[in-house]
Amino acid sequence: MGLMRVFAAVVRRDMKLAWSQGGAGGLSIGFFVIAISLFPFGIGADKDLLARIAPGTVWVVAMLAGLISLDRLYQADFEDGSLDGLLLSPLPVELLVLAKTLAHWLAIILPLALMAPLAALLLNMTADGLLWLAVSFLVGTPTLSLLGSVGASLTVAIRRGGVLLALLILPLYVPTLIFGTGVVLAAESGADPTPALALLGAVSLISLIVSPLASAAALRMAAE
Amino acid sequence: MKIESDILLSGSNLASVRGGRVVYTGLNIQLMAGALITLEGPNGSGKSTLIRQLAGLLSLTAGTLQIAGLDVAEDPGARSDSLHFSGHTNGLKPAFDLATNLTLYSETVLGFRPNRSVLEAATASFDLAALLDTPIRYFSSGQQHRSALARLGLAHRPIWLLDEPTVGLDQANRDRLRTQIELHLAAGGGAIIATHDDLGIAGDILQMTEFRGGRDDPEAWLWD
Repeated sequence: MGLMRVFAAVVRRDMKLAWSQGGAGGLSIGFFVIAISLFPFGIGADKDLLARIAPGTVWVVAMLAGLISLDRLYQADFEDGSLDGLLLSPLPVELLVLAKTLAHWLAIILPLALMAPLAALLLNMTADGLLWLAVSFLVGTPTLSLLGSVGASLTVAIRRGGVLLALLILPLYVPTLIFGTGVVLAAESGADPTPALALLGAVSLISLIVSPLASAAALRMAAE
Repeated sequence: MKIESDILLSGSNLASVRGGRVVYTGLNIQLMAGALITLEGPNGSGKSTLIRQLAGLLSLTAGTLQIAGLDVAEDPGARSDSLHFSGHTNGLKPAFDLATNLTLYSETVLGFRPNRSVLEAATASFDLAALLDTPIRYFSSGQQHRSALARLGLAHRPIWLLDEPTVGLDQANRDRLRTQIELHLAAGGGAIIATHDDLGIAGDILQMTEFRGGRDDPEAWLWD
């Protein structure tokens, strides 16, 4: 019971930080909306083409938008010393990592998931597509935070580790990208989107198991 | 006469290897209730390393460590209720006011939500009560350091591990710190403090240079 209270306190703390001055919440959403809206300008008013690239575009831009906030996930606390305090909290490091990752998802990625159908509207996505895009985001985006946490903890002690973080993490996002767009493409073509959705959920579940263990190990090493 | 339960912390045969160098080896330390141990030694002699090792932020290279009668290797949770750690960094979030910073720390690290009177009492010890609602970004570096020290008053923890607590403090605030340490010792707590300054409190001195890893040490090959 006590541990759950501390867990909830860490989640609240990080959500508060994400949306405070200097937090990444607003930045990520702003980047997401602006980057998506650039595509129609670059590609032109070819509605069919826009509709065809819409699922992949929205997923890729969401991944990049999440990446903007990830390099500060542990680094901000590492630099100002508050990570020392958190590592001394009664929470096991694995749960601490999970709490911070959950806060990242709730504060930064979930708003992106809610914005995604609106953004996809700019790309002329069909109504069926919009619905399944939202579903695929809810099922698939936890992976963005979970695997991102592994990269963020590995690069926590590296100055300007953001680029390295992108190189580490983006390849790991490939399964999520394939199955995430697969869900939307299947729904739009009238096929059954649930097999792709199940695989997307499986990737999220695997990340849920791997991420806390790997991130905790990397953070312990960084504190050394 | 030493009674078993009066021993707050007991480390035997501790060693630390940092970057291939033996910082200290064969170090024994025992902290009794009401006692102060001052760590002395030149820069690089391992004062901060020992403090972080005792706090649990660094793993034990060798030896055993007991806190509150429990072996930390078997019972990692033994530490969280037993000690306060204060390091070089202050762990404050500039965007939040002092009260919010202390509340977040208390909730996530100490495991309870402090009410206003707890915050006022803790900050009054370092003459900060008037600044409770001021954002940290307007604080001087001395005020920030005092804010970090004010955490010591949020909850009772028998063991205080302080790394250079007097740095950046003027004489009046050094006296306040001394008062806090004296009150803590009088209440049966113990403190291990790394410092280059004379705190003006009677206590034992641990000379770090005595435990330097020599060339006749079994791990001497680690000397570059």
